[in-house]
Amino acid sequence: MYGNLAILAAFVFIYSLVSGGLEKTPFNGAVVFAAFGLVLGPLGLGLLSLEVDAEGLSLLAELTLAMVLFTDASNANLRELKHSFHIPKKLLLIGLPLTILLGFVGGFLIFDGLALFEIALIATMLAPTDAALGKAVVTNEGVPSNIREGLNVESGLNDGICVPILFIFLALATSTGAEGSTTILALRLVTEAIGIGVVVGVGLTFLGVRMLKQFVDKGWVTETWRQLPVPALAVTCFAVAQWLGGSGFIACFVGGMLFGGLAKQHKHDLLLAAEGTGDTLALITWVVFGAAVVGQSIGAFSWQVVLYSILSLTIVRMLPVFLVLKGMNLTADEKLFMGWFGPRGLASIVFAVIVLNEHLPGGETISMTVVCTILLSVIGHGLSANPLVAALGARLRNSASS
Amino acid sequence: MYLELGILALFVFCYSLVAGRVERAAASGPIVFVVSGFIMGPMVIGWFNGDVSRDGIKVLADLTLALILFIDAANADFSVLKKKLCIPSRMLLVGLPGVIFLGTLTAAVLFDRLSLLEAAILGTMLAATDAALGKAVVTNKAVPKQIREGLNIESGLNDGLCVPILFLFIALELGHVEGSGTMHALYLLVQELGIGLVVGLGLTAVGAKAFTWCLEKGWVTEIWRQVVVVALAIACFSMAQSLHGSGYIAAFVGGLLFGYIAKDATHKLVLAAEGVGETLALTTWFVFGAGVIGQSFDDFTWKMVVYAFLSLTVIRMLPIFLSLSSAGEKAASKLFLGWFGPRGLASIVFAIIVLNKGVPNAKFLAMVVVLTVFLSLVAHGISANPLSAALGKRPDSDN
Repeated sequence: MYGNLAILAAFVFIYSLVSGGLEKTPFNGAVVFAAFGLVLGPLGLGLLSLEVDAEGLSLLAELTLAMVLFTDASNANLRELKHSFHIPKKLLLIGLPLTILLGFVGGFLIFDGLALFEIALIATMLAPTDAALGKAVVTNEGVPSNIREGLNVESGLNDGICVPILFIFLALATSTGAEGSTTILALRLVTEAIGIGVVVGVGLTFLGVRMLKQFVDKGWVTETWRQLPVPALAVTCFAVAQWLGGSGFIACFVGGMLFGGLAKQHKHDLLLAAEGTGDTLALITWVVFGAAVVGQSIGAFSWQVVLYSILSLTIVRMLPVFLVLKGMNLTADEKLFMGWFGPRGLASIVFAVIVLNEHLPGGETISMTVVCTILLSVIGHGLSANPLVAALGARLRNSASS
Repeated sequence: MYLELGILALFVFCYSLVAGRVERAAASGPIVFVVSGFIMGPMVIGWFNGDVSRDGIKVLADLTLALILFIDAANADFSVLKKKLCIPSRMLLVGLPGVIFLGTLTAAVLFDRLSLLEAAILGTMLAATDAALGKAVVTNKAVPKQIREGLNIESGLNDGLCVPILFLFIALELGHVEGSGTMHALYLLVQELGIGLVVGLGLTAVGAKAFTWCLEKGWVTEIWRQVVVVALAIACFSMAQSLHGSGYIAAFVGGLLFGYIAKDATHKLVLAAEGVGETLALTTWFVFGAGVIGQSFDDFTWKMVVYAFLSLTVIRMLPIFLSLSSAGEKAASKLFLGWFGPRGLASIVFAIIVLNKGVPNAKFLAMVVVLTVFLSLVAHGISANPLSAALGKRPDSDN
């Protein structure tokens, strides 16, 4: 207990010292954290002994995703988009379902030991992209602004959209194995969970923002405590929805969207603190990923897993994105660029933790596939971000001058 | 699980909205959190089951105290201490042992069921004062400067000094009860303190050097700067604990060293850590209200109220008054210094430690601590502003 805590705290301390230096290198935080977890975890030196099953760890992963869903959704302010909402809308409404479908077809052809719903789970778990990992591209001025905005909005929202789909497949996958529970019942429970999540998220956030405005105007919110309202509201939405038998992630996602819409004035200020909390939580989740998730699923490693991971990062996402962007006035280069830059990260990890805890027959293969894809993505997207951005910029300049 | 988390988060959200207003009123944050914890706890509504022995709660209390020990020690400015050494050093070196002695004696006389060592444990638990609760006095400009600084330094350091004394008494008591021999218990204690000392000094020396070096290189970003002190404090604490040393000692000496090395940068860095410390502290108060108060209710006797009352008055005020006899202060100032020793978080965490160590009369001791802390919350909270104003107005007190 204290051993783990000591190692984590020492690592956070060291990282906080060199964070600025690391940002200038191609290694992003996620690589450092995951590598650290891997080296100190059971597969490496064995100093960190973390178990995904432990209640504390899955709660940590859940809270991290809840915080990220809330802050990402409230940052994606749709009304303030400079360019049209067309690109992200197409990516989310047509591209995302197609990606899941294609991922399912790929998985069906590659894996033979898995049930159909388990393959659907893999496809859904690997569909959301990670906004934090895409930051290198999204903040790079060399990329045309419509592409950056499109990627940013897409990655902020697709994880939230994937949550209900994941839960439906998860319910179907577990109910086919268990006795006495029918598919209809499982689906009803999922619908209920989503409905409760929406109601809780909208209701709590609406009340919360009203109160927040009232008290900020009265000057009752002091400097020290200004950091807390947004993280506290996000955790409240999550925990209340979970307690009522709903989906906390849905509550955070819709709560975040509503918060972004309602709290215009103070939004940025208030969100900053929540992002800091989210960053620290994400760091720890990445360490857990390296130490525990990778170690617990390494037994299911096979060439099929690697093949699927490569396909998932390339065709499974790039083809649908390329197709749906037809007629959006983008060059083929730009469309391929958007298709490639869908890094998989935190959302997929948390989904893996959730699925691991359900103890499905194919659970190890599922999580190993997710692990492998994330590792490849972290390395592939991390290394390619700056060179590809430069190449895209050069191409665009060439075509403009010719 | 989710219900408790949801209520706590909702409560923190609501409190963060009105914190500014509450701070201006007579009710302090701790009172609000203790009372709400009590109402939502098993005694009234029952939303929290308040089982203090659960791992999570013990870790929460541990980390809170570790962070506070580190922060308070780092804030103790030794340049001020050297110049105005007189008041706080007398209070710490002469007053504190006196308070413990008198507290032990009173407990031994008042409570027949306690052994002498258990009485000593009680006296030590209640000798530590809480810097955060004294803030209303320490930041009040009406109070003369040397008194404010004296109180601030004293309350920042006395909890750290009480830790080894408390552990000594606990070790002796357990050695006595389990029959494993006093020498063995003492040997373990020395080992524990030694490891804590080495870990705290070693980690902080390396950490602070690395920090100043990276800061000069410009590697420390704005967002992560907030995390530095918190991470170092927790690293000291948990490293020492995992090596079977005392994490509190490690956090305390680590904080002292950090404050000394990082001099100028200390204040800015520590400020962020204080926010975390305050949130943790209020959460601990909430748990205290929900769990500890309810759990210890059945042992209640009227003698406890008498002891709590004496502990806040004679037991602390007399030794402090005597220790300052030749410090050149007016009698009113000496009484003021004696009165403003609010008992708080340190005493509570000590009580949780004693509960978990298996001292025979632990529940009884915890109940006395709870009662004293509760009385102190109310009495010191109400009297802070009026008494400060009264002391400031006394014509003979300004110099």
